[in-house]
Amino acid sequence: MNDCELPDTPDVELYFYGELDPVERARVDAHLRACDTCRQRLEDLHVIRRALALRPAVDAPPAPEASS
Amino acid sequence: VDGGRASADSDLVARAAAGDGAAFHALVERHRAMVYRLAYQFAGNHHDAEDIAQDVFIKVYRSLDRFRYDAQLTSWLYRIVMNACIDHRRRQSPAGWAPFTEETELQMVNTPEEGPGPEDQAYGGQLGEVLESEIARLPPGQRLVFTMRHHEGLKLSEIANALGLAEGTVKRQLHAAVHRLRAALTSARVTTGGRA
Repeated sequence: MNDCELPDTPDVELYFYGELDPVERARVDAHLRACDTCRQRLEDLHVIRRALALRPAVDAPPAPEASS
Repeated sequence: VDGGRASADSDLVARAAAGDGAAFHALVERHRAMVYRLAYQFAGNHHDAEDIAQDVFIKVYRSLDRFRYDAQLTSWLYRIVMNACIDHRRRQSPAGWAPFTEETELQMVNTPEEGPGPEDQAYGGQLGEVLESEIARLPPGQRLVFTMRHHEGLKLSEIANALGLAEGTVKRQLHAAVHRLRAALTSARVTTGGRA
């Protein structure tokens, strides 16, 4: 196992959701290349996204007719 | 955010506030799908989602004259949806619910909702179902933040602004939600022998 510098931080989620500035993104990028644990955490997020994307869309029911 | 859409929203609000029923109807139609989706993600069923969405637009109608025209209508709506969700839950279980403030929200972070756990759900075989079930069990603050980020695609700064929370709080909420979903994913993999 490697020594992960990002345990219990939101960095991988923020990376996944595009919430990091370029400098932080480069830092996490470099970390991901070296850290199996965080690569797995990132892959988990892709799995979650794909699985939720396959769920049926939630549609609002038809609107009631306007009264006027 | 689309400036034209925002100015059209402001125009509709102004006309609706002046008593133009068609303008209010157009406003509802424009935002109904988003309001309903958020309500459904929060409530987990269509019946409650409809109640919440109806509450939202009643509140919008009653507070049209308080809309600040320099604000985004969507941010205003998100806040009303959030409060309607919290009100709805409070009506269902009056004992444990307080107004949605940063303090009470932090207290709720580690309070799981009741319902079947991921181990039970994984037997159903569908990972998406397992994850949806876990989302439904997230504490309300986490559920809203995850839904607004993941499903609605809002930036964390927009969510913080809409919910009146510090951005650091929103980050922590998202982190906690993702942590729970990862745990559900791991559980599902174990239960299904790695097929998830």
